[in-house]
Amino acid sequence: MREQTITLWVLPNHEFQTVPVLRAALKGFLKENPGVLVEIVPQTLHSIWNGLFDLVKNPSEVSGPDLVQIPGSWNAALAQLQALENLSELDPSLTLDSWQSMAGLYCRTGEDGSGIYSLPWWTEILALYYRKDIFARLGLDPSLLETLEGLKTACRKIRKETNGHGHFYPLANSNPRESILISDLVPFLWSDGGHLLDSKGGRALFQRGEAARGISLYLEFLNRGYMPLLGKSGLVPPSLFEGYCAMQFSRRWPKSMKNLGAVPFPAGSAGRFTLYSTQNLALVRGASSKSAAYRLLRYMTEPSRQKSYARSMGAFPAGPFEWEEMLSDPGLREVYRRSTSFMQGLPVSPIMGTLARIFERAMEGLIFQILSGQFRREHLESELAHAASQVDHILGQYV
Amino acid sequence: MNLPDLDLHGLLRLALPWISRASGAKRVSSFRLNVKESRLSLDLAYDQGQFQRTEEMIYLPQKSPFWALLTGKKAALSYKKPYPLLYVPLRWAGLSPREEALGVLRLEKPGGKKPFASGERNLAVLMAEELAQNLYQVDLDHKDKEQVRRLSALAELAAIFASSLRVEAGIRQILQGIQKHFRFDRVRLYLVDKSRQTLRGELSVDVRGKVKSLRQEEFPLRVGEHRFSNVLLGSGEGEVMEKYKDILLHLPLIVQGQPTGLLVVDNLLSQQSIQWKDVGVLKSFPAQIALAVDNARLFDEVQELSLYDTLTKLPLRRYFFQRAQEELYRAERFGQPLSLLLLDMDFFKQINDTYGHQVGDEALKAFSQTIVGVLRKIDFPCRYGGDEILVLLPQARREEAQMIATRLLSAIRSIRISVPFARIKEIPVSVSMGAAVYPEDGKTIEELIEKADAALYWIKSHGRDSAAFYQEIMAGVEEQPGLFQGDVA
Repeated sequence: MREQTITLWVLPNHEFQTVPVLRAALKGFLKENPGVLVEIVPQTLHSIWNGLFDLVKNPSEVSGPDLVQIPGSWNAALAQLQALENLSELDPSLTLDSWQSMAGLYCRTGEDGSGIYSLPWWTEILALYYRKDIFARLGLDPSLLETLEGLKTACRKIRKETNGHGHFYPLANSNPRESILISDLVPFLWSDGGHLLDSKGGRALFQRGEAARGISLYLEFLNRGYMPLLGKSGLVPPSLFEGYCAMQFSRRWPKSMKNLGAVPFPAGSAGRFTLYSTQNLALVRGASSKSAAYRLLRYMTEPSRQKSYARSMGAFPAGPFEWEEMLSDPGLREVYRRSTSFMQGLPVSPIMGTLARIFERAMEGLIFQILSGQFRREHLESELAHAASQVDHILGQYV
Repeated sequence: MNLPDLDLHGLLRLALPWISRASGAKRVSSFRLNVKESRLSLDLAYDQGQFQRTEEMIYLPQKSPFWALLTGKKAALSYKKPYPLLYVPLRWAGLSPREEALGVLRLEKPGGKKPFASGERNLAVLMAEELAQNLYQVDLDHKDKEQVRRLSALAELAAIFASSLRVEAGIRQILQGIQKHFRFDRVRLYLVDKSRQTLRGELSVDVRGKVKSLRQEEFPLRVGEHRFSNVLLGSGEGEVMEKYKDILLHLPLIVQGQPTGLLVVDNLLSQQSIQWKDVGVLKSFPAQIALAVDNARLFDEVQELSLYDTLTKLPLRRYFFQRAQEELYRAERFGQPLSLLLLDMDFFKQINDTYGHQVGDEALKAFSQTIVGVLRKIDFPCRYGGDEILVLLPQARREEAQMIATRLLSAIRSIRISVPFARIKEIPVSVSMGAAVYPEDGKTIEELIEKADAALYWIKSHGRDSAAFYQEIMAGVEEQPGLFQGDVA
């Protein structure tokens, strides 16, 4: 039997264990499909983005994957670029009934939303975790963490007590190794009443007062040294879950809640919001092993396998589930149950992927200023204004 | 190890496990230096048999200790917290003292307490030097390949420029060629319209190579009116554009010191940086593109000159005959009717002699415009001679041709040419017309023209300001007042 190789690009979902964990998860598929090999290639967000664009621009000279993991917010952009296969055309019986409705928003595109271009694989909800022992030792009441102002107070007190000893920080980002991503910023932006785009998705709003205030608060955490940007050793300190911070925003839940507490994302002046995000799987247009790759896609997104894979990394499946199936800690279940009432996702827009990149470039400039001790609020306003005008131009051209 | 076949990641996948084993580091990561952006970016990390690519950057402000490492002032940087880690430069002996290292290697012992021993450190420095040399070679190979790609692009695009004759087709090929070879999200071309003093959009090619018209975009060609006009007139892009110089380029097209157009390329959608080496190559194109576009425009103008009469804007003989042959073929093949009219302005020579050529030209222009205004869309007039207009009437039988002739007579009679300097102030215009019908009057265009001319001659010698069909003349039909006099019965 002739061998087919499916190339699968994934993000480092399990860091260094990404390939072994996924290979174990695909054992059943390989058994059911003798003669099919799966080459798992971990990539970064940027390399996936650039790789897919290169494939669109030069399909005859560039080789790409058959199946790819993408943030759900990229679905519309990549579908519009015709980088992805329309799964509804490939499989007319395909529906999104067995997925969470919010996850389904990030799979469809097209004028009537009829095309399904990717399937949700797993989801994340942002929450705030803290060290119970440190709070107890410092006499901090965890209810402080119900608001962003309270969080600031907690950071100040912890910073004062620990004085930046070693690599200990009051607060850590959800993904310490990465630069500031849009998913780090949006809950802050929303909490102060801001928005990324207007309700029709035709104009940028993140440069406006409320949004800029929210982003400014995030940068304040960095500028005051409450949240590490970069350790002196060039190594971003390991996370709360490895014992190096007092608190951490996290999109994943830990295996053990020993000595840990959790609260939903704190409330800002405009209320309480948190980020719901999905990771999807998509079939790349022009894939050489299309039918085998589609079978793999359906295999990986089958509800029980979704649950199992999501559980292995502290995420949630994209299909319906019971909290008890995923979280053994009742306190943690309550935190996420509460979070679902005020969670929201990034706008469903064909330029979300581009907007995210524009944001990151803007933040990179600011990171440098913060590290050099030269950050001023005006720098943020200037960067946001430039970013907004670029986004408006792109919206005018492409949407 | 066959180096030329290895790319960067291939080389690192061989080297990092080897370095990990030899140095005792559980985890080894390779970072590349970006001098312009003052940061180190992770290429690849290795940890106990597994590789990982993540986005990790080490920003390097001025006082960062990493600069000492990268400039060769320090051999290694060692830290004990949060666990033992060691940085060594990717620096090989071939680098001059002033050149920065290619990047750094980070060796880690997560969870360990014992720092790197001096022996382990020295070994790490040596292995990094070996890796750096190999990385340098891989870089060179990559640069060579890129250079070959650019040269191929140059050659292919130069061929396109040289062969582009017709403006629209040529522009499309040029833009698609640039988009394909340089992999831009979008390529747009704007051309100067000298008569309107504007910069007008022509075409754009998007990320998928799809062509779109930009004709709806037009900017006055004055400083301050639009960024594109500013760039083309040498006023600069403005400070704002400095931020986007990595993803958006404006390339003015100048021919003999005169602005001809503007090429705009961007990666706004992908946000991929435009490679500076591509910029260098691209900047050599505007002159060629400008010339190619200019040549294509000249070609189009010459084509137009040879097809259309400049005064009356009517097609010339050559064009008429091409079209007439097509209509004749249709008439033959499908049995469709076809007629032909030959119109001659009455007393045109006298008008020229009496009032001057300028008035004569105005008369001809009014004459032609009036004729065109009366004709059906499918009719095809041409300037046949000095004051002679030949009109092809496809799908017109004799009766229909008669109706058209009657309307023409009436419309032309209402023309008044202004001569303010003369006593009469206005001169009327009239026309003599001969008509022929296919197939009874002839089966070729030449025959039809000959018969129409004969009928015209008859009218000229029988009072002018009227029309006649060849068949009628042959039948000896007397002119009937009321018919073909412009009065509709």
